[in-house]
Amino acid sequence: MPKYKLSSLLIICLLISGISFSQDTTEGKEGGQFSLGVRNTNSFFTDAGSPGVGFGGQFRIRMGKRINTDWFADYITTNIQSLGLRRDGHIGWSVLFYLNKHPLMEKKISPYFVAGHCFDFTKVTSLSSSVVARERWSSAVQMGFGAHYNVTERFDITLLTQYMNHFGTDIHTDIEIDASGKKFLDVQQRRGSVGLEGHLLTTISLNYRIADLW
Amino acid sequence: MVNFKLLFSIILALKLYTVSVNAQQTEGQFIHKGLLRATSTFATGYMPYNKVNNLYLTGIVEYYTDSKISLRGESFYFFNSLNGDKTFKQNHSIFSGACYHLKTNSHFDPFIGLQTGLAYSQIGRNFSGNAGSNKSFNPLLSPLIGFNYYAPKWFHLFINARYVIGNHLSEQGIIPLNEWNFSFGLGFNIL
Repeated sequence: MPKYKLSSLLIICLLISGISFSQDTTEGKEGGQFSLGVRNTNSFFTDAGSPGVGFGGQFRIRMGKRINTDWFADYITTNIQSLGLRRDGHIGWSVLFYLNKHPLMEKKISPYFVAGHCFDFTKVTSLSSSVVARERWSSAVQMGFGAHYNVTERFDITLLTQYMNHFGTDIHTDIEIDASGKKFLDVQQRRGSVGLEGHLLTTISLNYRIADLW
Repeated sequence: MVNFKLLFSIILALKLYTVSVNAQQTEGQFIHKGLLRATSTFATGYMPYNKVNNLYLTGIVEYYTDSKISLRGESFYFFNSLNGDKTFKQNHSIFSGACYHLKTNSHFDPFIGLQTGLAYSQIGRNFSGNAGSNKSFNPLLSPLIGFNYYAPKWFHLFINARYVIGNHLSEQGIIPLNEWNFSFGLGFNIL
């Protein structure tokens, strides 16, 4: 084989290897990504009238390039003006739809719409001289808007704001004044009546992609 | 006529250069992917709203996913407050979160972090007398800052400072769990 033909062949092979190395190796492989994370959730505009603070966690399973799912659990406590306290437990799931064509890229922000469903346990306790507590289970739907920032390819910080609407037995609270002029929290549960109660949740979470399931 | 030998040599040199740049870690930087550290030490805390000093035993496990990010879990076992059990009988907590490590070319490893946590707290004699339980689980949020200094093999020194944000909510009382917390000591490089 002539020398210059062999040299040309070697050059072509080197160039091809360079091009193939620069190819996006993750294209088409976004589905199946599994992430684990922790979160802090704040609850606003509840019937209690006071903001709540929560602790929780979530895992994500990515279904496709622009579709992800979030499976979460939160425990939220609320101080009702030092007259009572409220405890909420949420467990649920959401679907995330990314606005970017190429979401979850390193050092990029990936905004998304989110909608989902959860189950909720609520207990409201009045801190009067005789402690009164009411509790209920409810179902809820949530919808909102969030964004990931990928600090690295696998680690992201996420901010999420969503409105959650609960369907369940109505627990109503009012601040009343007793005969001695002292304020107390009146907690009423209207059994048999199904109420609609909504609140705004803002969440900050830290997530790490630990595996590719498929 | 093209000098193919020269062209071939240039392309080969370029490829070797790009590979070596990608494979190179910042010279002298100790922290790396796969580093696992653990430690246990005493920690002190000051609660500004309750004006009380607390003493804890703390344990930390931290795994570096790369030279920038580490995943970190911590626990705090409450020994006592300096005012006895007047404010708190118990205030144990666990935290989990992540830290961002600033780039250095040495064994010095400064970081900032954010963790969420859960406290198991029981308020003390100052709040007793009402009906109901004085124990409860309460969510916490904590930013933290600090640095590690790694010896070549097994040990490292560390200093941590954090601010804990949360409230104790129970039927006997509602009081803030906000606290400045400080710890330092010697840790082990496990992996």
